[in-house]
Amino acid sequence: MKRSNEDIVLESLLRNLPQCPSVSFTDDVMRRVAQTPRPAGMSAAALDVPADDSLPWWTRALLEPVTILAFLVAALLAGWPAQLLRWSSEAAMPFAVQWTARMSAFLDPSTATGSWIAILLLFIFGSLVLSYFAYRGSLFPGSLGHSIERAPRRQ
Amino acid sequence: MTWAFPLDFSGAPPVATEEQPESTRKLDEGELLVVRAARGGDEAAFRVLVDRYRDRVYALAIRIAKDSHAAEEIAQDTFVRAWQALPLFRGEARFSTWLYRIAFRRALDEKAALDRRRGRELQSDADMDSFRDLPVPSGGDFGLRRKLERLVSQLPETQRIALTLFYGADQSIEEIGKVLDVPSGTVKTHLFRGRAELRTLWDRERNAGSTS
Repeated sequence: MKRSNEDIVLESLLRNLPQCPSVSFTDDVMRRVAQTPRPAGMSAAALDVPADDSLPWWTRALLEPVTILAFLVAALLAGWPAQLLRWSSEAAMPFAVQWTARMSAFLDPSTATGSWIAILLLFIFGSLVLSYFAYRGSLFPGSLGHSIERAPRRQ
Repeated sequence: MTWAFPLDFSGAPPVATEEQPESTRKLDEGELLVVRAARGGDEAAFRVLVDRYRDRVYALAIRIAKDSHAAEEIAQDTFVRAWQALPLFRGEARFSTWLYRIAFRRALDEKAALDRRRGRELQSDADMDSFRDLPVPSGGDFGLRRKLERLVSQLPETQRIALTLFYGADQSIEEIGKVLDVPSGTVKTHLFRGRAELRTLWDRERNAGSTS
């Protein structure tokens, strides 16, 4: 895309950032630094600073509780743990047994491949949607929602 | 762009990728030594880092909080937290990216508190979302800079932040993604929309000025 002169002017203006007006800013910071001990053995979470990780967002998303929950739900829907559920809940959860048995029956060999693909797509889509809401908190563009944990206010 | 900036205490130079410009690579190597010293507790070295990043952190803070007093408080807090947490910094991202992440989180927190206070105090104020005291960037024409700052303040938050980090703070798209905790594609979208929206506002104001 060809940029006009106006675009170039705007971009050059954007490179000039507002400057900190306080002349004593650095001295003030260093005074506070001198009074602030470094706590030994503290984690990034305890200090409320971001962990210095280089993992991409989708890797971190996979570790989120909602993603794990999505995995579990998708797995239940897929019916592969039906046997496991049947073994573990025969006595206590007859309803679950019936339900999982029904799910297993649904996946008959003639439709198994298509069903598995559909379930896989459903799982991927569901995970993405859950991760999206967990991270952004909102579908509206320009809003960060509640994705960032609020730090405790400094006393 | 991929940045490899390991904090290697064996004295080996940091790994530089082909995509890194020579000038940036030299700056990073010099900064690495300063960060190492500050990490070890050298306050003089940390002072160098504060001097280097104070304006950029302040700019990020004021473009989120839209209040110069709050922005200064956020910037100070950012550096104090960075000082406390520096032993945990392993150098897997650039120091600046890590610092902006701290500033970003702190600024969001402060902005939420400010919005609550303003909501209580200025319920009827139609100008609630505008800057209380507009910051003026350095360099160039004063009027143009002031105009740009006013227009930037009208953009959605994520677009303002993306433009600030990309143009003013020398962050790559991937690094901005880390600061905002969004994928690179989303950062590109914010940048694209932010530029387009800014251009629209700019043209609208120019046309309004020429007709009046």
